[in-house]
Amino acid sequence: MSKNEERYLLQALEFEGALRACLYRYTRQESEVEDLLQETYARLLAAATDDPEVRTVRAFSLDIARDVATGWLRQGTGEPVRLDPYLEAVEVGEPDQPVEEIIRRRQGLSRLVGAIQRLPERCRRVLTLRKVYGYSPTQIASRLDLPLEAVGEDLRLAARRCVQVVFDPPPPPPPRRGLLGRLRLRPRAHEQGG
Amino acid sequence: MSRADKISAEAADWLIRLETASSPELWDGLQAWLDTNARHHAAFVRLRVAWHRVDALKNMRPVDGTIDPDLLIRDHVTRSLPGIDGAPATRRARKPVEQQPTPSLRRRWLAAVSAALAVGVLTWLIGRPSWKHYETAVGGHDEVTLEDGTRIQLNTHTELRVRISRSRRQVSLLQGEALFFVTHDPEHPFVVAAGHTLVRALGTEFSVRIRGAGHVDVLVADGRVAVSAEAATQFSPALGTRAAEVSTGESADAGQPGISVQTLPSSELVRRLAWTSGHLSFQGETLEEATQEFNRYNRLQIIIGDRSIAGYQVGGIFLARDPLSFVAALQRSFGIQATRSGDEVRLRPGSDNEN
Repeated sequence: MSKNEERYLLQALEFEGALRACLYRYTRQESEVEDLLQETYARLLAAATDDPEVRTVRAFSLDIARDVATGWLRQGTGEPVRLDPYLEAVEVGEPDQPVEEIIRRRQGLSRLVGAIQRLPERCRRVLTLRKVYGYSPTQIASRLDLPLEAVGEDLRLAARRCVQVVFDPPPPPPPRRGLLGRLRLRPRAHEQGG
Repeated sequence: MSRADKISAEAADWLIRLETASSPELWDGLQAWLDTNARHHAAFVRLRVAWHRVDALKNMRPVDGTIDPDLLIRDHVTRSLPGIDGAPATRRARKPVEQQPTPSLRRRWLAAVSAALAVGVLTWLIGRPSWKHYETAVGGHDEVTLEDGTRIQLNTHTELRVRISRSRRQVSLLQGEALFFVTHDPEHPFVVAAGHTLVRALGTEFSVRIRGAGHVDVLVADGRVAVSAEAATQFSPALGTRAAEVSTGESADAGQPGISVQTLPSSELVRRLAWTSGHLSFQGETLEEATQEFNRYNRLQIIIGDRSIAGYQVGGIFLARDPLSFVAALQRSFGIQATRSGDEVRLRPGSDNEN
């Protein structure tokens, strides 16, 4: 777990929303986007080990995401959707300005608290004691009169829910305009590349 | 369950297992799992970073010290974060402006007005500004803005008091470390007292840290401060004879026998203020110094169980609230063995390093 090896990945996490938006051009299936994103991150780890010359990590990460997605299409695993003009216009440029950054962080905290409020009650209480008050799992088990295993189970669930909202989500897609908009088109040969 | 989901679930399992209990065998198991596939490693890093970001919730801890497992569904928390999906704040935003207040709202208004009146009367009776108290817990990080616009960032386990009067602005740093962004106001001197040391800002950004053995570190990021080592002059704008002026890029160590000032390279200045972004930066510090730094920020304490490794020099940038990553790096780089027991991780030389 060397920090040097993780350096590109750690930076890429800051614009996960842009990476997701890029991958949504290739599939609308959330599970497939997750899969492609995980592969993109894995390749960023390998890239940091190889130490290539990187212009900006943002552009480099987006290139890798596109490579991963097109490779996936070539293998015939995926069935791409027609490129959506809305998604084409998604901002994947430079990082936010400071003021926007502050707003973004505040929105992030709102998303996080919102997600925690939707957790099952016991899980929410366990997470609150762990992350707001800094209780150890053993202390939580004692305070809430729970087996330690149950605390671990709740923390695992909470961690998985939190990771879904901590990083920037892509902008929400616009409402679909009818049946045609929902049709998923098979790729044409020239779109898949050779 | 998709492949990505399965890997994410396994990553969560490792993360929480290490929080619940730790042993060399568990760490070895994690390393083996990470080495199996780069995706494992990527998923674990993503989850670990996210999990540490959730620590931002610590800032919502009530200052009165009450423990409330249902805190995050309380109205006042929800109201403070407008835009939470389905939360009362959203409903509040939809409420028409012209809507009549309900009886309960009226009661709340009356209570608020009564409380404000009571506070006003008390303040008038006391006749002088009172001290305001701020503190952070171990691992905490907070920022406060004073009424004159001065901002103060409080590092981990820090306690200070502030009083702004008609003639001066006074801060008493009781423990820990704080960074001050002082609003320039020559009519109202800004003075920080830390132990026997007095720091007077001359329009500036600077940090003050209380160390052990009566030593106080002052670091100036911008502007100038005057540092005095005379307790008798507490909060007096006039400084005593044992005083030194410290300018941008300089640090002062105040204590016995006096004050020593040194110039720092800008990289060193940035490194020593890395805590403001939640990081710890090391560049050749001994393992003993590095573990002391981590222990300032975490309930989990790293203990050096064998003096033979205390002098190892370490480098790198770490999340202050992630001591386990630091321990993992030590295991990898120096072959150090780590054994966790409760809130302690004990470090010993690896079998290859033992004599």
